[in-house]
Amino acid sequence: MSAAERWYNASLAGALALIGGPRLGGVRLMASAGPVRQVWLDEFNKLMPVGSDPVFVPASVSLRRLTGGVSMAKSLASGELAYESGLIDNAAGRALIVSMADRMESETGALMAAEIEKCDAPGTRPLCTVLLDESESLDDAPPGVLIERMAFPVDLTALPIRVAEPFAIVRDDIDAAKDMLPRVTVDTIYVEAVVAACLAAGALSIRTPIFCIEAAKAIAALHGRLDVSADDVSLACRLVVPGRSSMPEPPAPPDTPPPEQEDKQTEDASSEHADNAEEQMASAEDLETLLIEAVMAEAGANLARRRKMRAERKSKGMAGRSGNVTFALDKGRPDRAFQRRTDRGRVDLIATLRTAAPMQPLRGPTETGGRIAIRRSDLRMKRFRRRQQSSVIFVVDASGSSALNRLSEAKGAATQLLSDCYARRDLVSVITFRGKEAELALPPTRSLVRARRQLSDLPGGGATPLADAVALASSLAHAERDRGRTPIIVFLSDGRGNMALDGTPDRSTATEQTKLLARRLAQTETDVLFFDISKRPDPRAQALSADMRAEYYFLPIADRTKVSGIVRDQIGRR
Amino acid sequence: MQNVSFPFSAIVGQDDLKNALLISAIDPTIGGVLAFGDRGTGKTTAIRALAALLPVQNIVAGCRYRCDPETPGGFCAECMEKDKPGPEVIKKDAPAVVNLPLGATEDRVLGSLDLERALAGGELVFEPGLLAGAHRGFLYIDEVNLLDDHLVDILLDVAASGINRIEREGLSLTHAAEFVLIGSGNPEEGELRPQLLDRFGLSVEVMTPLDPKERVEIIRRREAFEKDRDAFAKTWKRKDAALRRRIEKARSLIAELSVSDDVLERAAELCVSLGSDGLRGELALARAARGFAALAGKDHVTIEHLRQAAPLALSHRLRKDPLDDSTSSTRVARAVEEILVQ
Repeated sequence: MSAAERWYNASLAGALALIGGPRLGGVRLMASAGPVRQVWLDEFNKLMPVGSDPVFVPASVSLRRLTGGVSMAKSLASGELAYESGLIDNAAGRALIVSMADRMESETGALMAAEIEKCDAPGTRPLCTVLLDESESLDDAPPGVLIERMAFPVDLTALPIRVAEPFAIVRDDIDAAKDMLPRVTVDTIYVEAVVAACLAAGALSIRTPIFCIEAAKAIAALHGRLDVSADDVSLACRLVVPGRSSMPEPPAPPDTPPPEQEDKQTEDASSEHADNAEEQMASAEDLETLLIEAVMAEAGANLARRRKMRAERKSKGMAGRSGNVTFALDKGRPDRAFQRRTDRGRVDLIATLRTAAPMQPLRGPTETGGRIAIRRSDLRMKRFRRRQQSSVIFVVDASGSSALNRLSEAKGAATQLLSDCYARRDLVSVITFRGKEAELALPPTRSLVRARRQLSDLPGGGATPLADAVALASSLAHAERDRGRTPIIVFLSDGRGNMALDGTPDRSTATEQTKLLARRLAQTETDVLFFDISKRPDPRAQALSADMRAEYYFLPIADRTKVSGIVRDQIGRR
Repeated sequence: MQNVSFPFSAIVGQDDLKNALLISAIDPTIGGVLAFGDRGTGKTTAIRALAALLPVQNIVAGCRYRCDPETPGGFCAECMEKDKPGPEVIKKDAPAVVNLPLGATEDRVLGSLDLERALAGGELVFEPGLLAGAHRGFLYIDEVNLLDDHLVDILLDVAASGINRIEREGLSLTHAAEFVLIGSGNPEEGELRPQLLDRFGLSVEVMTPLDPKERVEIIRRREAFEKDRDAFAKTWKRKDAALRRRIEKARSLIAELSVSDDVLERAAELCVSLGSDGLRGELALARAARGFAALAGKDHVTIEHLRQAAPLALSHRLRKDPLDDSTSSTRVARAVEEILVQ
């Protein structure tokens, strides 16, 4: 698909979200902050109903602000307890724009989803939601509850600014389509075909086919038609299904062709089926096949684009997120207020008033004539809970002959650790490395179910890209620290890498790069455990372990119980 | 605008979830329902629909604790102080469905000092929380696995005893809070502690339907509902009414239901073979079986009812085995095959 075509689809998705309203949820806009995204937002703004400005929601929005509650400002100004409505309550009929949605806590996301759907009556919900998603990989996406509720995943990554033209659709088109939408009908054969296509694409949530049908109706309305056509359905599926598939990202085939080539292939595929679409469909079966193809081609192109981006990022060095986030005392989730002992921190006004309230009749009016007498002993301070979660990152050597056994023990250790840490709520992730590069086999999770599913069959064998593994582990640790978690990296390796970062089999370069990356990792003062899995203690493994300032363990036979036990001790030591 | 909810009988499939909800409506002492599973499977829709389906209740008008005028013994302190409530103060209302937002504080849930009155008049007055609002109804928590553990502890405690005890900020009081706790969540977001799991009476694994025909039907009905809510509700009115009568009948039956020793023995055997320790499993199993019998309009519990109840009452009480990949419902089904079908 050409860049111009992608831009057109992106504009279409925005328009459809406004036409379909709450029934389509909204748009997940995947793009880094920049001119292309800005043009899209500006253009989108022009399509919104007159006089209804969007409501902006920062990812860091407090739970109380979302639901509403006591208004501090109004209470102080009037001297009486005043309440305010929540952000979402104010957004009925308006668009919600969530900035940096990828940084939103899943808890906040869940509450937001609940608030949006709180009222079932038509006309009381926000018009649509736009999630601004700047994530670069699957593991730091916006909260799943919100992604699930957005019909359109719109990917603007790597679009050149020259294609970002003003939308061809204008507000009058939207208004006309909205009037028409309630009368648009869709034939059952299309519903059946959409259901089959979604199942085939692995988009199991029932919301996906519902969104496809609603989007197809909105497309028909936009074109001024009362009957949904095959083209409408096909286009709707291509807009909705990619990115909503619940299948895990398929592992890269062993010999990945260069991404450019892959892009071209899918381009061919999509133009091919575009030709097909010209002919009228003969049977429902044909339609189904066509939809499945359309959806698959789109999903493939998306995947290739993301892979390419990741590869580019890697070759640039250890990029990722920049800036060190330090956690101040006044950040985090508010916990119960506590009695004042220090001069630091912020006063919890409500808790203070609550403490002072019963004493008022005894104290009488204050000397200065104030209505409420608050004494030093009444003061309550806000206490914020800092997340003390640990995030254990397993880095497992999947190369060579004994790989399969090692992998299964590493998987065992990871799942054992997960089943042990219900109460602590720690997270576990797994990086494997073999062949040309390291791969994040399991993004940080605390779900046993997910761990088991994603680790079910990992491939083994091939060369040893140890340097890439150290690089990936470092950047994951960095990302985890940004999220306020404490990373622990656990290596299961013999310390003998033979694949350089650029994918050439060059032992000396590989060793040099590994050493450099290991030292860089040591500077971040991350806890590292190194399990040497060679037959006898290997000086190279010991040297690498020392470079990372890791704790070295010699463990010729990887054993899940031992590994998880040592890791648990390490968590407990903090 | 009139808020018409999706009719309960129009929900396609999800029999486990529907049964669990119906049984908890018949016998609220069962200890709540935990619905764990995929997104987009109609959990919220089903719970909203249930509330609309249930028979209306009599409530003392103006009572902040939703007191029942027919059981004077259970009156709250405020209703006790008033003169005998006559028929003129009775209000009819559907059972409450209170949504517990994730960010809710302990104050909000339990209730706390009424600040306004305390500051203005120096009075110590209790401001009821969400628990009081859920009395004789349902308390629904979406994404229960994301809720703070200590809050879940409190909720389960109150749900089990039916009484909320307040000892804070100089207030000391108790009020009735009998409600059915319904938790839902997605295991991908994290799991519940086993101690908490065990305290839910029933659990269901909600799976997204994979049968294309069923999925087409879901989309069709959803569409019809969105198009004209009133007309859609009308089409399903008779089915909903029939179900309502079934619930009313089951409620009257359940008190008289007899469970034979044979059935109880089989229930115990089943629990032992599944290694679900403690009496909670057996108790929940017997209760759920009674629920199924009552729902079917029977006056005694049979092995068949036990078989229906087993997955709901036991699948969340199995000991976790990191090495066994089969799902808990498969394990329960296996045990049921072995013990009940002979």
